[in-house]
Amino acid sequence: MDEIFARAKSILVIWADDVDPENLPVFQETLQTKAKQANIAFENVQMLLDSRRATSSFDIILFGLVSKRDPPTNADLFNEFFRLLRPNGYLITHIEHTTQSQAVDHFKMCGFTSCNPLDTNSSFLIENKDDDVKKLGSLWLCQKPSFDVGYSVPLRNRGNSQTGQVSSTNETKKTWTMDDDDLIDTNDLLDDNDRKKPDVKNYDCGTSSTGVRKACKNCSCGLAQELEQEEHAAAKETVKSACGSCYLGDAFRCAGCPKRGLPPFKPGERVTVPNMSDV
Amino acid sequence: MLLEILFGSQTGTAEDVSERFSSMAQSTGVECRVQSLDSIKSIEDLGTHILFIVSTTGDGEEPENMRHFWRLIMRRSVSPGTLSHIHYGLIGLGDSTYPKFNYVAKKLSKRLHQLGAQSICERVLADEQHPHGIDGCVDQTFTGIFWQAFGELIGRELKPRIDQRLPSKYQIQWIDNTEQDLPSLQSSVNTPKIPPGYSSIPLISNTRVTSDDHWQDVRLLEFDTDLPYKCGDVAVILPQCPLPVVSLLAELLNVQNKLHQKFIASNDVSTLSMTVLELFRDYLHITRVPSRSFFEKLVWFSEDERERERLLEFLEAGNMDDLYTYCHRPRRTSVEVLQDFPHTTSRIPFEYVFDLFSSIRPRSFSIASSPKIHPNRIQLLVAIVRYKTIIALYREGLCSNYLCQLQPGTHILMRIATSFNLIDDNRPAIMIGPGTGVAPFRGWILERSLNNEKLNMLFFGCRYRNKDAYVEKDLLKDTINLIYIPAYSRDQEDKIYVQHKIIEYGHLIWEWILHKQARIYLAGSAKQVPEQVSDALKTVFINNGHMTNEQADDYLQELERTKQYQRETWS
Repeated sequence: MDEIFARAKSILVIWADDVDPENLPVFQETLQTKAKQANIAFENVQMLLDSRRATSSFDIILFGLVSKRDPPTNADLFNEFFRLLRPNGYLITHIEHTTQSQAVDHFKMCGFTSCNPLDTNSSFLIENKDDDVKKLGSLWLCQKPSFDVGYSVPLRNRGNSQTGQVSSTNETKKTWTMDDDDLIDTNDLLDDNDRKKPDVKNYDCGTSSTGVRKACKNCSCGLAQELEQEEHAAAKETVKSACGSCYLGDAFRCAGCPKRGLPPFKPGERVTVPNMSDV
Repeated sequence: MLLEILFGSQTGTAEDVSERFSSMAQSTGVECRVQSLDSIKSIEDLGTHILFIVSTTGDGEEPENMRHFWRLIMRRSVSPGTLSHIHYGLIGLGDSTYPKFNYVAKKLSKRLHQLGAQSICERVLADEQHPHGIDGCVDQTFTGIFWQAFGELIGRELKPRIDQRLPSKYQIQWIDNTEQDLPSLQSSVNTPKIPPGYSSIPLISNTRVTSDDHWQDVRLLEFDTDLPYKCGDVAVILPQCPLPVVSLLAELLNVQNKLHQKFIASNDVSTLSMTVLELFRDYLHITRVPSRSFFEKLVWFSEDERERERLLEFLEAGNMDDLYTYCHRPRRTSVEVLQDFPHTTSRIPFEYVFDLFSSIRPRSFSIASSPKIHPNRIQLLVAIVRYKTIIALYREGLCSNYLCQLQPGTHILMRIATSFNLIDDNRPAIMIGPGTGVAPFRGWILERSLNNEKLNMLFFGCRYRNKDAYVEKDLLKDTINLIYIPAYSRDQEDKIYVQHKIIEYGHLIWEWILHKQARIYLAGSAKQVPEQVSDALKTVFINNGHMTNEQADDYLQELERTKQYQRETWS
């Protein structure tokens, strides 16, 4: 139980009108010490259905624990608790023994799995209850399953394969993956539009760029070499500098500069191709 | 109010874009935090205002540093309203030469919507093939709109500026080398640092396996190590930047006298300690092609009139072509850019190197040996990336060239990671490995041949039989149990690739699948190969298995789903 509270990030405490108002802040304090990282919200049971809180927003819901007597239960209320809980979240409430089986039926119909009584009647959770209520009832812990009810899981429809030769390979599960079955098939997220590639020619580059062939970064087919030959041939044809800024780096050279491709140098200096890494 | 910038980055591009948006946010007074998506431990950790920046890598896969997050958000049990409190922007980074363009961003976008999150503005699917590259694409269709819409959401006008210098990521403290009374520092100056998880491994041999007259240089590298591995694993290597470039950068920044001096770099979250040499050689990727944000940061330090004017010109919104032609198209490196702006560079305070350069990322290579056949050895097949653009100096891949020039006896930093799941049972294996894709199969075939009953079929593709069919020397022997089907693409007028051979030998493939439960493995570049091979296999199912188009489609998908057809592709 302690871990459940310690891990919780958000808790909802539902109280009914018969609560002694002084008990609420005290309860909150005690609860906060048990659930250090949790955000604790309080709501009057009458207001709950109207407030339409977000689905799956609480780790724990505590119902009717602060009041002296056990509140009446109804299906609508439990359905709402179920909706508000996160998958694997917990509902904790106190139930009279005489109405126990009916309550458990309610729980199950809403979709709660694993409903169990706790035998810790000394828990801080019910310290506000009358003694006779404590004697005639128990704390119950119900958990919402990890699958959201109503969430449809797509069925694989492979039909009968031609050959029946396809076999599953359970023995070959990679040890470094978590259960793949826990995940949706991400390919289902894509539609036909997604599978199309963009039309490169339609890219608006905002200038009058011609559609020049470009080699890939890790060109392994030889196009990069080919393009380079073409560019070098073109550059060789212009021998005279048009701007006089040849000695500055490529950032300042004009398009036809004979020194294009070389690092900057001092004016008048003879420049050779640096052979820094000619392996 | 906090803007969380969460990225999934494989090669550093998405991380770079994240940093850029972070700088923009800071310049306009928006508090923000940048983290990789893997720092999200549970869905509840996600805040209210998020900018997602995600790349797609390999064959439509999510980058490693968002794998855990992917599994969290794609879990069936997450209920529809869970993210309804989130307002988000989404930048997808991809390359449209690959078939599964930006699949990760597309899927994330749909999933976020499913879970109730609300988008601040329309997402952008940035494309490397855009005339102005990733940055150009993002700025053209997203940046301005995002800041405007986000401003409207939080109720104040946001106008990010690029010219205001932001505080540096790290503070620097120099350590006096003569301090003798600090034994811990003393010892760590002398011993090389080994990052956690890595081992220092010596090289035994470095042999070229393509003919000298072939334009591509492919090496077989052999290392001496008892690191445990199995066939299908990859060697993850941390490369170093070339020393001449390290020296050049030190000169440009006026720290050439401090190369061997140690410093401590610290901030709120981390502390690093090393010499300047180690920083430029082992830690920072100084030969990276810089992104737009590099130029934006140079403006902070630029006081020389001509240089500042040119930098601002490059950064003008309508001038993207100019910047792209200068820098990205010819693959100009960061240091080469700094060379062209010497006055600006000499004024850059040393601590800002961490803002200008990203850190070196390790590279993975499929292991080409087998622990049973080559005990205490790891062999790698590495294609050296080296090509020319308009720039006089050759363009070189960092890691491949680092490996290329290694001398026997030199140590490198390596760790092993699992990758390809090669299932070693008695079922026959049909392997398709064009080019260096053949690497994992090389060791595996040798290993499987220890048992006569294991059947192997290999489709290998290269360009010329006598120039780059480097796998034949090892695999074409009597002792090796292999049906070898090569495709030499340029040995005849028509191009012949592995997919043509697959169709040609379809009867054999079908026989093995139908009657022997054979498994199929494909390894190679993610660009064209997976699609072509899938199409070829489907043709086999149609021709030899007598299926319709649809049945063949379904059958191939089922083979994939049950892991009878596995692919390892890289981008």
